[in-house]
Parts: sequence; structure tokens; C-alpha cells
Amino acid sequence: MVLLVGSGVVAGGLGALVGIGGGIVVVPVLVIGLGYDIRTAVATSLVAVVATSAAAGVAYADSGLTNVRLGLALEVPTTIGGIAGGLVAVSVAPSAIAGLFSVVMIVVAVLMWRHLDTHALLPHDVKSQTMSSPIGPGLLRGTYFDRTTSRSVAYDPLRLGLGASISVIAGMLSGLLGVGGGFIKVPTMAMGMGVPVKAAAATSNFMVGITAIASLVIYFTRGYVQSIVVVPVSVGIVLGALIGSHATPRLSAVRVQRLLAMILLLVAIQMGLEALGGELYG
Amino acid sequence: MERIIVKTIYTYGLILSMTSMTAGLLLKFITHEPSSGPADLLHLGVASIPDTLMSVGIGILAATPLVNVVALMQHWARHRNFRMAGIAATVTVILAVAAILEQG
Repeated sequence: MVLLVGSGVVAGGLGALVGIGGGIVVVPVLVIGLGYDIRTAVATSLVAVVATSAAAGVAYADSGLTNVRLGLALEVPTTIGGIAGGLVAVSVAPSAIAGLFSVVMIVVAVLMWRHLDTHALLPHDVKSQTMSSPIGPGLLRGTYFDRTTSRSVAYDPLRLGLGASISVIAGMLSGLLGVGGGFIKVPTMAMGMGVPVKAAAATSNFMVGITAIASLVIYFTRGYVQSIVVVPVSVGIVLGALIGSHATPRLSAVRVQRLLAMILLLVAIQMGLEALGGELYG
Repeated sequence: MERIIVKTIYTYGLILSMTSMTAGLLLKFITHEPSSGPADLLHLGVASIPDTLMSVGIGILAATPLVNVVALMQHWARHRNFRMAGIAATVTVILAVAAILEQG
């Protein structure tokens, strides 16, 4: 139990330090470190994703960065993807999930090493834009006050079709692997839809909690949500996120990010090899 | 107003769920109760107090984003923003259909 709380604290702390959700850390720790079935690990990670989304959502709501309307509009395809991902996950061999997870871990590790995370994207031109949306002009407009530049920012998201298509994929990955999928959604919103990167990160955070419950329903009814695993990890991850958010100003984000990238890469290789062997995940 | 709704529901959802889960976890630790099976919100009466508290905590946490969507839908409908209310209703229906199909 102490190990589970500790793994949650580590995942939550690292997540807060480098700006990722805890899922990418929780799943390998539970599977490789503690020997749990990968579906139990994914279900646990999904509950942890809801917890981190809610915890960060409180802070983001204060800042006004979350574009609730855009988030919900993109949640329609994302939720469908999440349910599809959950259904696939409970139907395929666990080694296939582990193999795909290792590939995603390598992608995240490479992005992290190159410092292409949500905070490193180029600042977006914040001038107001015309929206080409089938929903209606101005309906998804976002506004917030940027404290770093001391000015109000208004934007209209572009290319909703692109956002919706990528959201289905992000939802599927979330349901399959128990990750939030922010590493796909944030760059898509920021670079493809014209959403300022800070607003994209906050909106993605709002979305991941809803996406997680879509696939969680499937894991829950099939008995993969084990209280004795989920609760210590969730409590730990919220504690870790609180500690991590306080430690962030004192630590070098780039160093932590590169260290985590190396760890993720090593774990991804190990997970990939074990998935090929098909021994651990039965 | 949308931000206030989201913040309020997240705050209460997180406090209630974390309190319930932590209490259940501590009780389980103190009483040295053996490990239990999957979380089960449908048969809480037959579970022990620590298991019940942990399952309720997980249930509250999982319900928090859904409550947010429903509250936003109600807010937009009240302000006659039927497009956004429709989007929120669609998300709610997708989640509800998934839950009903899985239970069936």
C-alpha cells in the first residue's frame, strides 16, 4: 500500500514538474514495478487522470485559461474515441496494449527530450481570428487575461474538423492506455487550431477528465477498477501534484524533463521487450 | 459563470472524494483488513466500511466531470444557448449510453 501511494506521489510530482499527466508514469510502475495486470494499471491510471484533471482544473478555472465551450465541443468525438479505445483494450491481448504503450512512451520521451512539450511551443499570435466553424461564429471564442504580458487575449478556434479528427485518436489512446492524451491534443489545438498554448493546455486538462470516465465505465463494469490499487495511487498522485507544483520554481524543468525522458525511454524498451515475449501481462 | 460552475464542482468533488478515499484507506491500514476485490458501487451494503468508503470516493471522483457537463448543460439551456446545451447533452448521452450498454 505504501508503495502504491509512493508511486502515485512520484507520478503526480513528475507530472506537475514537467507538465504531463501521471498516466505515462503510473502504468509502467504498476505493471513492471509492482507486477499488476496491464488492464488494472490502465483503469487505475484513468481514475488518477480524473483526479489530476480535477485538481489542476480548480487552478485553471481561476486563471480563466480553460475554454470550456471548445473543450466540450471536442469532447463529442473524444468521448466516442475513449469508449472505442476501452472496448478494444478489454478485447485484445494485454501484450498488444503493452507494445502500443511502449511506442507511445518512446514518442513522449523523444518530445520531452527535445523540449517540445506544451510549455515549449512557440507563443501563438493572439490576435482575434475569424472562425470557420459549422457551429457558429464566435460561439467557441476564448478570452483570458495573460499575466505575463499584462493584456487580455481573445481568440476564435480554427479548423474544428482537424481538432475533432485528432480528438478521436486522442480519446482512443486514452481508453486503450490510460493516458490523458494531452501530448496530442495540446499541439493540435496550439498549432492546428490557433488556440494560444496556455489555453490549449488548460482546455486539454478539462477534457481529459471527461474522456477518462468514458472508458472507465468499461473497465469498471468488467472488474478492473481495484479499490485497493486505485485509492492509494489517486491519493498519492494528488499529493504529488501539490508537492510538484510547489517545487517547480526551485528546480530546472529542462533537467527534470530530460531525466524523465531517459527513464521513460528505458522503461519503454523494457516494456516493449516484455510485450514481445508476452510473459508478464497475462 | 461557466468558470465558477467548473471550479465549484471540481473543488467539492475533489474534497469529498479524497476525504472518502483517504478515510477508507486509513481504516483499511489500521484494521489490517485483507485486500478486497473490484470496486463495486452497486452492492455497497455487503462491503466492509473501508471498502465502502473507498468505492464511494472513486464513484464521487468519477462522477465529478459528468456533473460538470450536466451543470453546464443546464446553465446554457437556462440562458437559451441551445447550441452549447445541445453539445453538452450529446456528451452526456454518449456517456450514458456507454454506461447502460456496459451494464446490460
